[in-house]
Amino acid sequence: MPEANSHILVVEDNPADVFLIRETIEAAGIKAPVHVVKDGEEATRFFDDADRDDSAPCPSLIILDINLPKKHGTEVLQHLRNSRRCREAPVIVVSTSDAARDREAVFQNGADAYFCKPSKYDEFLKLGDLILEWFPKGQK
Amino acid sequence: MTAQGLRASVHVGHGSNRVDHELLDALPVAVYITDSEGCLTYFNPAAIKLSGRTPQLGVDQWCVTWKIFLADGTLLPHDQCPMAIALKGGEVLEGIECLAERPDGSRFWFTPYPAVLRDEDGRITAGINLLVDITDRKLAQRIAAREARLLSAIVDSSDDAIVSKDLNGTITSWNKSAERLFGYTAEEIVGKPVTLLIPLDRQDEEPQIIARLRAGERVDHFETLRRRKDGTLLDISLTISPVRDETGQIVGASKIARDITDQKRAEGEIRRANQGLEQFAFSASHDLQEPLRSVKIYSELLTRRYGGKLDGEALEFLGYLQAGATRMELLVSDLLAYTQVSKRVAGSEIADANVTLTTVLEGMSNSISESGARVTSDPLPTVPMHGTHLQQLFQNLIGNAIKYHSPERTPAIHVSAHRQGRGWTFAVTDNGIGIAPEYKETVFGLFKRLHTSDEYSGTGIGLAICQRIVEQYNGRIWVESEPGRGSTFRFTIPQSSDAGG
Repeated sequence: MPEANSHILVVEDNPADVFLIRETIEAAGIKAPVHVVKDGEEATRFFDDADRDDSAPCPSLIILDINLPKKHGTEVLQHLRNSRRCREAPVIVVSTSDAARDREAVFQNGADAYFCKPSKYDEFLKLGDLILEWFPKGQK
Repeated sequence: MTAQGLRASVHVGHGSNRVDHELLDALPVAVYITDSEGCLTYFNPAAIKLSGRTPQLGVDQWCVTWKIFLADGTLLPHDQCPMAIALKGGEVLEGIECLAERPDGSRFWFTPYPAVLRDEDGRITAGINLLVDITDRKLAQRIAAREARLLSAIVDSSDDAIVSKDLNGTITSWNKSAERLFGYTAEEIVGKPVTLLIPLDRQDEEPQIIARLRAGERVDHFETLRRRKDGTLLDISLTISPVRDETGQIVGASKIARDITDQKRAEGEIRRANQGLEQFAFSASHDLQEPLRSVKIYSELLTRRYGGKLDGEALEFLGYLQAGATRMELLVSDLLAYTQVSKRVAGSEIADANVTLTTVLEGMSNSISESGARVTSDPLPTVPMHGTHLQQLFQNLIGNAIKYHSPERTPAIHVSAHRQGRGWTFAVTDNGIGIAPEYKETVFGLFKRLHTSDEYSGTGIGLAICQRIVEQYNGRIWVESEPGRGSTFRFTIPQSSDAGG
């Protein structure tokens, strides 16, 4: 049974990208609510809150921008993997960088998928395939 | 001729004076004879020529010359000249050098060979002297000495350490700058092995240097480290030349060591500054991608979703916005590629240029077949460079050759390479539109373009990348071209071990 509070956490500081991610989720046909936090600190606080309060929401999928203010995406990943309640959540990292080095670094820190942000709308929508792949079945 | 030999020949001739005199007259060496008192009884024409005067028989005593000086320049009275000493029964040193002055004031050097004749009782009856002109030899010696003094003055005043060694690596000379640079005085180091100056981890350099010297090779501007007397290290540039003896045998080497500590420091500073700049260019181009992406994607969305609500001019503006963003995106990604070139540090990689070229041509098969270009190549060498780098070079050069082909001809491109010293020179030749002479240097500049985007697309970074790659291997790239006929781009890849031994 899908959890009542099943939702997607988007960690992204750029509203332009938040908009595109929202459209992508919608286009993928996922109805789950989307929760957006704008920097790395806000993201880690989100996990800490979930750990403290079992009634607080815990994301079913995290879409994480790697280049974040206050705390870098890799730090957020490390923090997440140590969280009591949220550690199992799949993470799709989104980044402008196409460098193999950056890709490796996020996988080493526990990311499940990597998406290089394209500069064409239709290509951006391909993020939807990854979301469908990693969003827990039965929670759409 | 030795004094003994002369004495013997005079003995043989005794009793037939006339014949003897004819014989002596013909000698090209100054000869004169005296009686036991030193009075001249005979002199030959060569004596007149040498002394510059005609002696008076029976008047002139001891010598045919006018004035005699010792080697130190003091006047030597005639009665103390070598012949006089011999006649008075004294011992004359063999091979002494005297200076004489002719009545006309000119001077000449000579070595006298005086001998005395004795009767059966051993009494001196006559003297004979032979004066060998050594002026030319003395002059040559003086010139040689002057040259040696000049050379040693140059060596002594040189800012570079100048050191010589034999083929066993033993130091044989040591100038003042060597003292200053290395801290050893000549007394301390001459006779010691040159390996004293070589840091422990570089001791293997010396056998390599000696091997090259034995082969008659010069070692030019070999940059290395040497050790001072106090153990500190010193950056130097060494130039070492073999030294040969008269027979041409290599017997040692002369080394010129230049202190390049300051130069190295400056190079380090430039390198750090460049790295900083590179880092900046990398971050800048990397970070520029992000906002640019938003501009692009939202101008696209604006067109897609609101295009219908915009009038013609608004749509035109939107088109410019998109084109500008697209072009900037290309520039930024090329700039990123440019800054990435140096991030791959050249090491011990080698690339088979034949394989690399095949890979590149496969990747370009579309544009090759579209243009109808014919690409040929000679057998190519294996070179000490990163395969990706050689690939980028071929890609850019062949890509340009195709792009800038002449509308009048089928593009023909030829890739070749030939040995150049210890490295290779590659050539990519085309029959395209060519490059005007005034642009031959500037085409390698960053973002340098000779055509508008309408004529030929591109960001003008390809050749800048090529130049950057080649320079990383201490090579050189240039273009030879005849406008309208075609261009040949050449680049050199020196052997990686060019540093020397």
